[in-house]
Amino acid sequence: MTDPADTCDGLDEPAASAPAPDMPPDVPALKVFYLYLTAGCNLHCRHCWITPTFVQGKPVPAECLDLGRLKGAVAEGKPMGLSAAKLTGGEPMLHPQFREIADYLSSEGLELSLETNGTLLDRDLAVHLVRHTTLKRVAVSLDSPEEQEHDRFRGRPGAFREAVRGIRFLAEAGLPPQIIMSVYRGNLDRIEGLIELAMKLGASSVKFNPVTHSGRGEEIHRQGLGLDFDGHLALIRRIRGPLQDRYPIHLGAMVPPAMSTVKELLRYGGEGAGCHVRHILGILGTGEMALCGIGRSIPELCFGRLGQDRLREVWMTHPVLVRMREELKGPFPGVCGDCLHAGRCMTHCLAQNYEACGTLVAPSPLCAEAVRRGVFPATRRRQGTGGRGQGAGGNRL
Amino acid sequence: MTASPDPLSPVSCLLTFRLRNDVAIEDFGGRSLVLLAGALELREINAAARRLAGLLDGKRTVADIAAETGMPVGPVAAALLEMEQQGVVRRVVNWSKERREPMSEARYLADPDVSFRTEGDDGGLLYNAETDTLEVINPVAVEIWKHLSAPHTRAEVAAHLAEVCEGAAPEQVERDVAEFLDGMVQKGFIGVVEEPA
Repeated sequence: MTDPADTCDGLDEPAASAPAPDMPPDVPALKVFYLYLTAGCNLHCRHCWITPTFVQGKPVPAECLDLGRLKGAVAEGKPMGLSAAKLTGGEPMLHPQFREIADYLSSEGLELSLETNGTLLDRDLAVHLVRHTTLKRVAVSLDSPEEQEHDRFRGRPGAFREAVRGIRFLAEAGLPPQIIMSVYRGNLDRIEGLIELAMKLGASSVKFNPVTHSGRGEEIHRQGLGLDFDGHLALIRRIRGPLQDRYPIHLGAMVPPAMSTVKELLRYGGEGAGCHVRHILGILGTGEMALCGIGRSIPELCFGRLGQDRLREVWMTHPVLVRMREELKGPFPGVCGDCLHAGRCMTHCLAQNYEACGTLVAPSPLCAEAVRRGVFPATRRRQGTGGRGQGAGGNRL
Repeated sequence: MTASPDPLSPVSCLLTFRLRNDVAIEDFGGRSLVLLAGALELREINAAARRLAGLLDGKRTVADIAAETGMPVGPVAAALLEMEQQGVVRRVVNWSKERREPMSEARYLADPDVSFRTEGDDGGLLYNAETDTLEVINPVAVEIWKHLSAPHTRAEVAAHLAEVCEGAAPEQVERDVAEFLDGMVQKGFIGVVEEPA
């Protein structure tokens, strides 16, 4: 998993048929586990926000989620509304019991999604996952259509070939994956090529995540290779406009809805608008319960540990979660308090907000920068321009 | 804005008004200033208009207010209709979200308290501050929304669209209009008007 925004792309949407949660009315249902199965990864990506331990063989057991503890968490979570799980990491397939975990979660009726670099996926595993588990969505990282570029960015020769092979196996097995491209200045001119490769490989969609300041991404930005505000917005406009017009494959990007054009809002609806953070709990390879993968680098966003703390108690009473839920009821701070989209956007990616300003519920860095530059669209403010009833300028005395 | 009837007509006597949600009135001695928050404008109103504004509760009719103030009905209706044009007050219409028969005779009206914003030619945003709901609409819907500044039937809306959207099949236009109106009535952005008897 390479970008915090990966957590909010629809991969996490729990099954609609979730059981009625056995929860007090003021506590949201816990619908999805984000399972960071291992803290290790067999790649060393230049931009990864999780900063996993580089693993050349098998990851150390201490960094692999214990299946027994996971079973305990699922047993506790299901009466709380648990209906889905995302398998991510590090590289989730490095977990020595990966297949067993997928089978177990499926047998519990949880809808599965998977984020992977694709390198460890063989044909047999792809067929098994597609045919014999509840896996519904897979996202595979690919950052360039050029082998050497991808390998250089991902920190290991052979990564491209293995990822492409994995994508093919998934598509052949009947589950075309989404391809996620981490975008920085170094691969901006490869976007069209990557889209064409994705179509050739039979992918279902391509999602574009600008490299953030999180984890190793900070170094990318220090080198001046990250996208700045203008570059970020230009990328979004390009992808959701002319490129989506041109290519039949679905192209996506996470962006606060206030920074989307009307045309984009009509085209994409609520896709990429926000995170379902009120219904998610991250579980790290160490067994720690956390907001999401950000808990690996920010200890105060870890809430307890499986095997030591009760999941239900953590979910209901941990002060960070309680405060976050209260704040998400609004009124929202800063420009969000005046934004038409706030109720749906929920301040977008809370992990990114925290890294940017030390507060979970805060204007997203993109919106905050738009305000600083005086370019936050007035039409998206509650007190913004626009007529009453008749629109076009409204009534005037 | 809704269509303005003749202030002296019997219908005007039965109209009811209330201050718009985004309007505030400040009194300074004998003068009153109206803040139109949505438009960020300040305007002065005279004492008679201020007195009328203070009586608006969405229930009193023009005739009730005339009786209460001792003013003739005609000037009261004229003053309130003028304030409606200025964006200070809005006419209270009885909304119905129920499907009625025959729908072809129902007249639809865009909720005058909904804020409408356009961004270029790609469509627009409707924002209902009372319910904090937002709707993104395409250019054709924008055309319908604008047309519903005054009450219109489905057939009238479809006819207007047929004029604007050249080449569209009439049956398709009628279906699209019906679908749009039903959806927007359900969401509370558009109402079915119950005119005063």
